Amino acid sequence: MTPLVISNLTVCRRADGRVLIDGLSLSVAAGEVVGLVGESGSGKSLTAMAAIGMLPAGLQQEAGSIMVAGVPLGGLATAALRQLRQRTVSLIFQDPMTALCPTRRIGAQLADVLAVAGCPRTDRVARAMALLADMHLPDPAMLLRRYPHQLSGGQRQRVLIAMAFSASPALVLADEVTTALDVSARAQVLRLLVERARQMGSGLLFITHDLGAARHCCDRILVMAGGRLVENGPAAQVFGQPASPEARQLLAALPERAVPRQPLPVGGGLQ
Amino acid sequence: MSALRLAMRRDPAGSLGALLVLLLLGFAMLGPLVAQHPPDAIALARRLQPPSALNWLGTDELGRDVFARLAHGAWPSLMAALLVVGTTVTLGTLLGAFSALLGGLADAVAMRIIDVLLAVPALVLAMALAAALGPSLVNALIALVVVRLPVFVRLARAQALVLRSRPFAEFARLAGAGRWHVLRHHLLPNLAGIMVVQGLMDVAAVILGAAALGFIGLGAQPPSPEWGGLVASGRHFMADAWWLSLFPGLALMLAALGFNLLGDLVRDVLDPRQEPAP
Amino acid sequence: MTALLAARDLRWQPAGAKAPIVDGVSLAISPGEFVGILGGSGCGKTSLSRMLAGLRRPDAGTLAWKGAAGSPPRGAVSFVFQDPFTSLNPRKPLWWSLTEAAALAAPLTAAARRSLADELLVQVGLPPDHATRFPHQLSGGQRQRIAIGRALATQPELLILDEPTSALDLSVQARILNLLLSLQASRNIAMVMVSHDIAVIRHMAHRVLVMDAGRIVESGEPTALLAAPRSTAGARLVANFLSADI
Repeated sequence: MTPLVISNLTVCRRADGRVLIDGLSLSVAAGEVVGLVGESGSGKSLTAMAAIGMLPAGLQQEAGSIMVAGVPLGGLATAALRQLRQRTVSLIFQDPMTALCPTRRIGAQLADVLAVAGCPRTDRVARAMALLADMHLPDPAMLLRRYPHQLSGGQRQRVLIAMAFSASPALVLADEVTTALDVSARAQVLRLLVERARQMGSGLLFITHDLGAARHCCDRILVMAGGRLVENGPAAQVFGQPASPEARQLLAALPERAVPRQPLPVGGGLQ
Repeated sequence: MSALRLAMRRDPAGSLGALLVLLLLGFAMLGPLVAQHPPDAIALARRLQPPSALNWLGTDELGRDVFARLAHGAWPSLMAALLVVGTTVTLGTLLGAFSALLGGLADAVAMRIIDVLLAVPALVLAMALAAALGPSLVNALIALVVVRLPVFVRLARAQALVLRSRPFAEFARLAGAGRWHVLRHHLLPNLAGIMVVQGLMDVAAVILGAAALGFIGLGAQPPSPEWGGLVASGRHFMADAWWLSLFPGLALMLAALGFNLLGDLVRDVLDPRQEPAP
Repeated sequence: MTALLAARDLRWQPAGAKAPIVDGVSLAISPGEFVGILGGSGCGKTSLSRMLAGLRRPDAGTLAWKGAAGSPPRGAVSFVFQDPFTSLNPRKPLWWSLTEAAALAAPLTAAARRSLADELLVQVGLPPDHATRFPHQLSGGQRQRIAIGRALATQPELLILDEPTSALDLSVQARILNLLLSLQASRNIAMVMVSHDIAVIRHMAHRVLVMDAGRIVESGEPTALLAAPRSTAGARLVANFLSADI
């Protein structure tokens, strides 16, 4: 079953009818790492919210369908939707500090997630330690007794990744998971995230505005601009010969490609 | 004014608060004019009468008209509360901001004084102060200012400490700005919103505090028809004459609710960041 | 040539810290030069930049401005902060924020402030009608332009920038970098930019300093240095950098 198939999704703002996602179609295969890149306001985070049936208030799905692991989201009852979020889809957020409860130990929070995933009480500590060990976190037994503020940003994000994969989800949505991290933690977290997705055979939709991160970890890159999908192809192709003007424009702004101290080619208009 | 209208549309609860406060003020101004009886006309023959066409909200143990007493008590009750709150907000903001800006010994001493004030139960402290100053409405209000002030100083100081280390304040210091410039341009304008909101939230508490002092004889003196006093004196007759405490209590509750909701509304209006991006 | 700003043996250790944050840094910045400071989080690069700007007093060490010992004259060094969303006073119109430093240096009439604000807006590529707007009406990139314009108001000879583009989109970053390059070309302002982004520093800097544990461990011409870093900290930065251009 394909983890995620979105076809012709259109999302509007109810107040003024403004189209925020415009006829978007994409799919993520099992074990595939797909990068969804674009600038703020391009609709990439909104796509992720739509994929778990959590569009923010005031927005409306006008057209299109979303299938998660073969189950169409449209018309799913609240209980079924909740079950889908518990077992089939996981979401990892940008800020690992606010995603964890600051007053509870890591172990307790992992146990909660495992309980939801149906892990029997007696096995939870062992499973939690195994999950942390899979994330190459040192001394899992001690880590379980720690509070979030006692961990580094990279460690917290690894704990969240461990949680996200605890129920062997078919689909994992990672929204800007490396943005808040230090450069060295960034590379490591990215490596672990991709490694885990491939091991578990989960589809991974990696949403970011960091083109470098996407380039390094993704099998396929999707570029969004103005609510539309403008580019879809293997990373080498999208970064090598982008077909759309929007993608070319985005890549032209990369300082690593420019002649040092020469103006970067950017389109007209002021931001 | 368009900001106000926008907030009204987006915040019906806040609008209800504004409406309640307007109604209360209207009642305070017009109520005494429409009341059928003077507030202190004793009519022992008609004591403890339930609400009727003659006495809309009934009469008390001395036959005085409850509506008239409520209407005449509204203005002093509301004005006393607003006066206390206005003073605490202004003083609290200035003291808190100065304390944060000066730092060092002055800040430490000020905060320890605040700690001591906060350690004593507010009502006990207010009673002690009001008793020491002598029973009168003005002294009760002074006592209330003193006991409500610490919370406001603390809040203003905490906010000012955050604002002082914001890049815009740091930039000003880098450009050679003195404390007065930072206080006037970077601290006070950004403190104003939250302090006013906190103040509006406090109006109800102050009305009740004034009532409590009035009840033990340290506030407005009888037969002045102050709302807290009305609730308190009706207490003895609760079983047979529910209207005595109910209506003043209801008025207090609506005032509390109104000012709380208004506080939310004012926060939305005052905070520019809450407006949708253009 | 005399250095514009020279720092000797700067040290800073906050109370209660186990190790110094800045541990004996010496450097000199020439007029018109663009110096990049690279390092991971906690290496001391932000603290160093604040000391150079005079925002933080070092525990030890000295600064010299154009060869004379002591801090630079007021207005000669300016600063651009990382976060465009907290760097402007939300209650002040942009003309006020833009001209605050200039008005502190010398009394200005309201009309003079407004015309200076218009001039600064043009310099940073924003239309003059933005003068009466408030920060919340601007995008992140526009705010960062205002922060740069504000820093230019006192005609500084040195501009210190703390990760000025790390909170911005790629295309907005490109526009801000272009603005900085054009300001250097037109006004010969020296700049020090703190960053963790190798690509940005390589693009912008004449000279890069790599910091680790409060010290400068390596310095040199950016393209050569980043192609073959000699220090372990430099090598780690390069190895961990996820370039979009493999």
